[in-house]
Amino acid sequence: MYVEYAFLRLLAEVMPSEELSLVVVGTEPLTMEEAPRIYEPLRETRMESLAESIGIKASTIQNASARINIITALRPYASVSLESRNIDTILREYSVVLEHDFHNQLFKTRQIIGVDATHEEGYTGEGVKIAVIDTGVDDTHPDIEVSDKFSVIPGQYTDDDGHGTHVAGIACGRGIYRGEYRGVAPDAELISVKVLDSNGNGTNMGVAKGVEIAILEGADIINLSLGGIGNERTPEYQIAEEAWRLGKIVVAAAGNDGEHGWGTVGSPGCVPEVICVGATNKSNIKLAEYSSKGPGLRGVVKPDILAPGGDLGACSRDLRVISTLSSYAYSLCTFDGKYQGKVGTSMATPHVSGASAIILQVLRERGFKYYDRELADTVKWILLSTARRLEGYSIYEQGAGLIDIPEAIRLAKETNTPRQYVFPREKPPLVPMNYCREIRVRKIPEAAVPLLIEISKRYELPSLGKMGKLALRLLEKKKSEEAFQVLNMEISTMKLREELELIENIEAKTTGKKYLSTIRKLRAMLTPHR
Amino acid sequence: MSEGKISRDLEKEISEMDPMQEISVVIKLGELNDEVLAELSEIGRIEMVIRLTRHVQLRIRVKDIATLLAKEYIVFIDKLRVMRVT
Repeated sequence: MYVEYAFLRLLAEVMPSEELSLVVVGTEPLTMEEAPRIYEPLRETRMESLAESIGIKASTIQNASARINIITALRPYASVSLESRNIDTILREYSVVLEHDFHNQLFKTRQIIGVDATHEEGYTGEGVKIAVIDTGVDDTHPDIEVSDKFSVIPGQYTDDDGHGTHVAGIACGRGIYRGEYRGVAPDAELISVKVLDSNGNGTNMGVAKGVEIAILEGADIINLSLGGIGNERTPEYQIAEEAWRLGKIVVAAAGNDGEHGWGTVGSPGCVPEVICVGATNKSNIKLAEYSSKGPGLRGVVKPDILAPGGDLGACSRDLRVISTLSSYAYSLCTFDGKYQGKVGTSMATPHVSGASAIILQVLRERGFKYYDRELADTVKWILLSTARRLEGYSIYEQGAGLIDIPEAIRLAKETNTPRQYVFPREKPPLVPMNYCREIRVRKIPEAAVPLLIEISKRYELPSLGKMGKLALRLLEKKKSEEAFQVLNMEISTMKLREELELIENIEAKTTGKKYLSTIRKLRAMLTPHR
Repeated sequence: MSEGKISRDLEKEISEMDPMQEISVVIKLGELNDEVLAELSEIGRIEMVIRLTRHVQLRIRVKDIATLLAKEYIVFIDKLRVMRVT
């Protein structure tokens, strides 16, 4: 909002000594080469030189006796402080935005899920330990207080990617630098385990090791804003199961492959016990397009719950989730020099981790006497039972719906015995489409034989997505080359081995109702190839 | 290769590699103790151990994977898989 300049001039007359904070709008944003300089030590001369780079003359700043506090990277904004008597010097040359208006909507997600009311009640995650298994956490940020930090990447402890610091700020940022950026559970204890490098990449063993460290360090909640391809045999999957068995609440991102269709939830989000988090977009009544969809392995409902993840697009306070910025990382979307905007199920996940911390605090304060997996199951039950279903989405897209923290706390206050959430039965959706695709079948003894099933209507099969090839698992193999049982479905005229690897989608041709039902089953069991 | 003990992905990957090339593999063990770790150290270089789930990350020559598969305490061998931020 551009301010009424007459008001500012009046203020200068009436209260000339009043200190104002304004955002001065320059003419052009920093170039890609210059942008990283905003993270260099902030000497006054450097700030003035950066201001020149975005079209704000240093001489004007000096003439107004103003002090530059922050320069943003993507937009030509300089936050300055000055006495109101000098405002005219600035207004003669530049547009300004009141700093309050510039910032007050930057962290809306807390309001959306009802956190502030919770904090007023005194539930802030105190006494609960959250482990962020990620790219590390920058504990030099005023909002971040890390009680212990570890790394499975030799010699690397800093967050040189920025992802982990952003995630940690959402879960338990203190909001000391700017209160409006306070995290969901600001008084929770934070431990950081760096398992991903400066590009956000790591391995499943590294992630599993990170979770093991978190378990051994006594974390109550383990935040995994990461994922990849895995299954029941891979280490990150098994360690997540083990953590849950020990009563650790494991919260993992669904993934950002929703545009590729069904069955795109990654591991360890696909572990049945783990709270798998999908994302809503900026409207928060709609699923974000990128949010990965279930089902998980063997038709398990995934994701379990949704939280705000923001929208893809420009660096805008309306689109992105704003949280703490690592001083070791480079970002093209910064706010206030200390915060940045990011988008994804990674951002949705720590909202749920923070909420879990608050629920755990409530349960403990009320003397909930159960531990181990009964405790973890109960926290999950509370979160999922109180989530708000969104209109028009399957449970394989939204799980129980959007997290509602005040309702969850209300239920936590009434909960005395362990509970376990069970999703209502819902068939995986069939999406009509106007064309069929070809499937190529490998691993056939003699030669590649196309799989042809005739159907009277055409249905889209789950797309392959980034998760890799899809695999049809045969539960029972008959020696006859005529028929194979696949989850009680007969596919005739085929010779198969243990597994079909679907390289692309299928041209499915079958006739009659019998085959329509079999196609449903086929859809349900198509899972990402591991 | 021992049927069922090695993932298809790893099997495929090593089929395209030189036997003397090194690769990091993820091993699920039936038992994890000092003797087993000592034996694994003779076959390759242990890079990471997860005791809670009995997983070991081992740097090994492709040709030595067959030796590994013959060990009774080996439950499953897979390739090291990529995880990344979401």
